[in-house]
Amino acid sequence: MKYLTMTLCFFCFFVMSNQTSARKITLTTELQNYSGDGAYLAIYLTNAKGQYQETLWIAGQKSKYYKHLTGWARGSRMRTSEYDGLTGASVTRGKTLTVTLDLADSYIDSGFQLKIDTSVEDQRDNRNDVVVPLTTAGAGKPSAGRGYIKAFTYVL
Amino acid sequence: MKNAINKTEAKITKNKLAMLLISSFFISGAALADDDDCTDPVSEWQPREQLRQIMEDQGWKVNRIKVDDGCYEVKGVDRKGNRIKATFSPASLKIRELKIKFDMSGDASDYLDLGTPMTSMQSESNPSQNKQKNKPKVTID
Repeated sequence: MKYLTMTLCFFCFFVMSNQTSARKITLTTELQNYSGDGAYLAIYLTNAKGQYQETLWIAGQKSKYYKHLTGWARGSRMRTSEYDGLTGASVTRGKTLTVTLDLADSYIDSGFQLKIDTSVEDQRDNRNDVVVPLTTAGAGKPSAGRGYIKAFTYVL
Repeated sequence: MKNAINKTEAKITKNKLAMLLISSFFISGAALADDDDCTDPVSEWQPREQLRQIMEDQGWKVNRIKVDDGCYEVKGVDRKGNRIKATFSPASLKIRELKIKFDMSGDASDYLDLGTPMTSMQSESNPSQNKQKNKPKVTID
């Protein structure tokens, strides 16, 4: 009986510790109604100094164009291991991209920043189209982009 | 009489020799046919341009595509500038052989995940090591 209680305690602790280490985050990116083809987007995390940490999503499937997502390309060095399983279709003008993923708790309120680089064929590349600090206070508040992004919101 | 017998014997040994030579030629020919050859029927071959597109989508620069032993043989440069030589089945365009020369950088991260054993030993305190590789849910409306 004693062993059973202990095992249960350990199990509960294990489950709870796992639950607290990651949190669901929803990133919503609405594009401007610009004239041009679908935009490539790189959504990634940097630390307070702006050093690349992790790729969250790449919109756009042809890796030969990834070099145009300049900030992300420099940080990630475009290693396939950085974006394996984290790519999808590019986003056409006026559309809204919604990405829901599990994010480590340690990223939140610790000085990390969410950044988005964007690029459209035959048009200018936007490094740091969106830069927002990843905080619980900033969740749910829309931020305007500098390039092809009209508004970006994250919800924890 | 004896001469005639000798002549027929000589003829038989000559014929045997010729047979031996011909059969040895066929045997060596069979031995030369390598297991690495592609045997896809020509009617099912995919065009070279399709293979070129696949390679270029990977960020590789294709210098030449030729047919060798029934396979497509591609020579080019990968996105890190390493020289590559790859062999593909011409019908399925599945890769059969890949040779890479890591000339300058020696960076094989595209092909080998050499960092894997180290990352499993890292503590959880560093969030950058604590990557979430769950597939995100994505919608575009």
